[in-house]
Amino acid sequence: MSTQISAYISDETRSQIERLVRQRGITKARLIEDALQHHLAAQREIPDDLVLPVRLTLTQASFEQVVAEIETDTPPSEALRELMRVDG
Amino acid sequence: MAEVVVRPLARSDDRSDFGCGDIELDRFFQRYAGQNQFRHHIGNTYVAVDGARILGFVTVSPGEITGATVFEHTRKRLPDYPLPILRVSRLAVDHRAQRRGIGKLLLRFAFRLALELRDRFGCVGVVVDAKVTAIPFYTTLGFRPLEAMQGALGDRPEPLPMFLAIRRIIAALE
Repeated sequence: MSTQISAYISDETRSQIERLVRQRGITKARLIEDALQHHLAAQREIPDDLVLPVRLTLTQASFEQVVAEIETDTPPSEALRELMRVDG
Repeated sequence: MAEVVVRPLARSDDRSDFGCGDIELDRFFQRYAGQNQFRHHIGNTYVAVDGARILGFVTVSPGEITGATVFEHTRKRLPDYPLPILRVSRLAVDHRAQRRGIGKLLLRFAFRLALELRDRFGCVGVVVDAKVTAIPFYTTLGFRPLEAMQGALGDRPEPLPMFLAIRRIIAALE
């Protein structure tokens, strides 16, 4: 059983696909499925320990709190002062 | 005893003997911290060392925070892009070096990196991914818990992301 997907890709990628298809004598569908399987296998090989997500998306309320924090002159806690005091 | 210093992880560092008591953190440090740093370049680890012996480590990476949706009045106050942060994703101290201030030394080092990041590229604060047992400690420093919808670490048990504004760190130095 198979299903159809569609996707917009760059002209550069399209050229590379068409070149490879001609060289290897395989269909575009075969090439794309192989590429996706390689990608999914690589994803499975990466342990969670290696993943450091770049972007943290917060709830609206939590993000508002962050914005308030970065705009407010709240004095540092004594523990923070103490931590930073040690090496000046 | 030699002076304890904090420096970048080196390929030649022997990480096999490190043990902090948390099997996940030990596994990360022994098996993946080097890959992160030297092969994938997706996070840097700094080690506190006493001579050749590794006493603790902290792993950091630049990141960004954003809201799933942002109120109009907030949007007007901020630039229309995510806020840059330094993320302290992992910090651990070898069990033989605990209660010597190594964790605080590493955290202070990470704060200094955040200040450097602010000066060079921009940084509004530090996000730590706090283990449950460390949440009270970070709270005393002024960190606030975050409610993440996406981008949390995949560790188990799941750590709590917490935020400290860079201006508070600056104020603590004054």
